Formats: sequence, C-alpha cells, structure tokens
Amino acid sequence: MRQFSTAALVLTGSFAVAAGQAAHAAEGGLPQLDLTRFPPQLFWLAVSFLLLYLLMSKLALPRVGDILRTREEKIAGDLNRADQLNRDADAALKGYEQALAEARAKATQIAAQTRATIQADADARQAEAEARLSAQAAEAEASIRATRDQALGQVREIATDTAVAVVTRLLGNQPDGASIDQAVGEELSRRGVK
Amino acid sequence: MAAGHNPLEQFQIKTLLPLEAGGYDISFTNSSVFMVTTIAVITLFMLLGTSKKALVPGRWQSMVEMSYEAIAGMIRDTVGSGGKKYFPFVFSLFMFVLVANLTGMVPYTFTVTSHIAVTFALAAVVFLGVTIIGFAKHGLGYLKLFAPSGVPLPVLFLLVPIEIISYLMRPISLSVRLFANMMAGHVMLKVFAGFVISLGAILIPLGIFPLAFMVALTGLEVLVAVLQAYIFSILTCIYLNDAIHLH
Amino acid sequence: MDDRDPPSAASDLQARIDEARRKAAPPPSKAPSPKAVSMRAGIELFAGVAFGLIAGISLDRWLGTAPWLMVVLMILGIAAGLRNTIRAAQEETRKARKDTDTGP
Repeated sequence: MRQFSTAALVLTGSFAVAAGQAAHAAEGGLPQLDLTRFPPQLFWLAVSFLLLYLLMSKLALPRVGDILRTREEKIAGDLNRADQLNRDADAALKGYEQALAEARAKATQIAAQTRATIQADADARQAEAEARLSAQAAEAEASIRATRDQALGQVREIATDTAVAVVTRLLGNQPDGASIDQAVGEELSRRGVK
Repeated sequence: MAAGHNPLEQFQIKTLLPLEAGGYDISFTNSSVFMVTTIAVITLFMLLGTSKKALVPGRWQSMVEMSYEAIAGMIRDTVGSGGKKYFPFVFSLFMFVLVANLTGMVPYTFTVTSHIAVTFALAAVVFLGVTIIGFAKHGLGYLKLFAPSGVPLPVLFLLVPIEIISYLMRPISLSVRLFANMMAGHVMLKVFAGFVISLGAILIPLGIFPLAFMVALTGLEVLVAVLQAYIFSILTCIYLNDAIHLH
Repeated sequence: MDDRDPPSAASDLQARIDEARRKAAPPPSKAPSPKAVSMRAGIELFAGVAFGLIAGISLDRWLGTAPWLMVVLMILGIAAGLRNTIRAAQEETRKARKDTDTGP
C-alpha cells in the first residue's frame, strides 16, 4: 500500500509539472491566483467549516461515539458473562466429578461390606451345619457304641451260656457257673473283647 | 486547445448571487455551492448512517464507524491521549477535504480544494491553532522547538533560523500540496477528455486509448483524493503533537 | 467409565473467550510512516523557496533593504526545505530498517 501511494505521489508530482505547463499555455493565468475572488471563498469557507465543526462536534461524533461505546460495553459484558458461565460450568463439572468419585468409593465400600456380611452369614451357617452334623455323628456314634456295648455285654452272657451248654452236653453234668464265667471272661479279654 | 476546451476553465469562480458586507465581496459562487454541498453530504452521511444505532452495523453504519475510528486512531497514534480534545476539529478537517476532493471527481462539478485560497485558509487555521496551543501549553518554552538539544552553539546560529523558517513554511507546504495535487489531477483529466474528443473526431476507435487512460486516471485520482485528505489531517496531528509534547 | 474428556472441551471454550477478548481490544494500529510519505515530491523545497520569496520581498519592501532579505530568506528557505526532505528520508530508512528487523 505504501509503495502504491508513493507511486501515486510521484505520478501526481509529474502531473503537477504538466499542469504548470498547461497553465502557462492558458491565457489570463490561473483562476486560483485571482485575488478578487478570495474574499467570497474565504467567507463561505469560514461559514461552512464552522457549521461543519458544530454539526460534527455537537451532533454526529457523540452519536457515533455512543454507538461504539455501547457495542464495546456489550461485547465486554457478553465476554464476561461467557467467562463466568464457563467458570460455573467448570465448577459444576468438578463437583460432578467429585460426587462421582465419592459415589464410586461408597459403592465399593458397600460392596465390600455386603460381601463381608454374606461371608459371615455363610460362615455362620456352615459352622452351624457342621456343628449339627458333628452332633448327629456323635449321637450316632454313641448309639452305635451303646448297641455294640450291649451286644458285647450279651456276648459274654451268650458265651457263658453256650459254654455251660457245651460243657453240660460234653460232660453230662452241670459245671460250676462261676468258673465258666471266669474262663469266658479271660478268653474274651485275651481276644480283646471286653 | 482542441474544441475550445481550456483545461483551466473548470477552476473559474462564477458569481451566482452577488452579496457584499462591509465593503467585502461575499458573493455566493459556484465554489460556495460545493462547500455547502460538501457540508450537506458529510452531515447526511454521518447522521443517516447512524440513524438506526444498530449494535451490529450495516454497510453504511460501518463506513461511518470506520471513518470515526480511522481519525480517532490517527490522533491516538500520533498525538496520544492529549489529542482527544482536538478530535472533532481533525475529523471535520479530514471529512471536509475528503468529501470536497471526492465530489470534485464527479463530472461538471467544482473542486473546492483545487483553490489555494481554500487550502491555504485551512492550513492557516491549523498553523495558527497549533501555534496558539503550543504557546498556551509551554509559554515561551515553546520556542525550544526551534533549538534542537545537543547541538554546538555555532551550528545553532545557523540551525535556529532554518528551524524557524521550516516552521513558518508549514502552512505553505500543507496548502500547496493539497491544492497542487487536486488541480493537477483535474487538469490532466480535462486534457485527456479533450484528447478523447479530438482523436475520436478523427477516427472513433482512436478515442478509445485516451478514454482507457482516463478511466485509469480517474481511479488514480480517487486514490489521490483520499490520500491527500489523509496527509492533510495526519500532518495536522503531527503539528499538534509537536505543540503538545515539544517533539 | 466414559471416554469423553469434558475438561478439554471446557478449556477450548476458555481459549475462545480469551481470543474474543483479545479481538475486542483495539489493536495497536501501525501508521505507514505518514511523515515520510507526505514530505515527498519536492513540495517542501517549493514551500521553502516560496516562503523565502514572499517573506523576503515583503520585508524588503517594508524595510527598504531590497533585494538582500529576499536573497537571505530564499537561501534559508531552500536549506529548510532540504533539511525537511532529508529528515523525512532518514525517518523512512529508519522505519524501513525497523520493519525488516522486526518483520517476519
């Protein structure tokens, strides 16, 4: 742009030379140098320029200035509001993230708790079942032992009776009950039966 | 000149309504018509362009705002915040010169700024205003403007007259630059318009060449019109800056 | 859980707001060395000579010193015109150098 305008100036400079020559060629000289025509020009220039100055300074320029100021304020206000809203959104996002993290932690905690509760419950149940089962087993064992003891107790009696019967049949006489019982007891204890 | 076209005839000042006040001729002339036209155009441009006071400006309002901001920016850049007071004056000056230059581009119109009386009067107002502001701000200290610091005394004896003359010739260079540019452009356009007619009279296609040149020249002249208005106002700002800040 | 990256969207908005703020602030406009441009085409020299002639002749007429003041003032006027032209040229070279230094 500067180069262009410089070129324009140089060109107009050469035009000025051409104009000067044209002025020499013309008869009667330059109308611009006719001093009798200065007063009306100066008077009307003063009048119109003063009028223009008043119109601009009192009317037009304050109006344009108002428009520009209003727009500037509006833009600045809008930007401030956008900034504020953006900040609010940021804050809301942070709050949301924090709440989310908290909820997540809480959920984990609840899950762990629940798991522990369930585990404890299951353990308790299992222990109870085991206890019941072992009680039942003990009971069964006891009844078996009782039956066996009873049976074993009867073994001695049966053995004694059988021995008495065998001896009676073999010898034909009634053997001494006490010695038979003792012999059976010895035999039984030798075999490991009580 | 071909077909009796004197290229200087367009600068003739013709009295339309003879008036006189205090022995002075204050007749309403063709120049006055275009001064008033210039004022009317500027005022309509400024007021109609801002009539809507739109927050989002249309094309016209944008142009008004652009001219406002261009001059405001010019003062801010060259003078600083101290120049705000003079904004309406510089703006009026810029718009007056610009619109006077541009309306003069229209065929059969008169260019107010192609007269040295007008441009010199404007330059003289700037010169006197700036000088008054300078002395009002700095008193006699304003004369320091003519004595550059850090110069040995013997050189100063030569330099001070040169500085004073360079200060006093400001209104001449300011007014002659504008006047010469506007007049030269218009003379050239008129001369080439004469060529179009005279060459076209010999052979119609021959008139094409000066016509094409005239179109290009008109474009250039519009550019010069804007540029000269810009230069006139920025020099005013520079002088204002000298007066307010002493360089 | 979700792959969206909301903080980056928000900071993008922040960047946009900052940029709009920067745009809304008036940019430091660069005047194209107006003094240098306006002092070309020898107008300064012409003004110097014209001033010397006008002031010299009127002063000579007033003081009856013709033609000495005219000669002196015209020489000084030429000197002032030259000085202004040289100063404008220097300013332009300085500006051009600065432009190339800080330019891209």
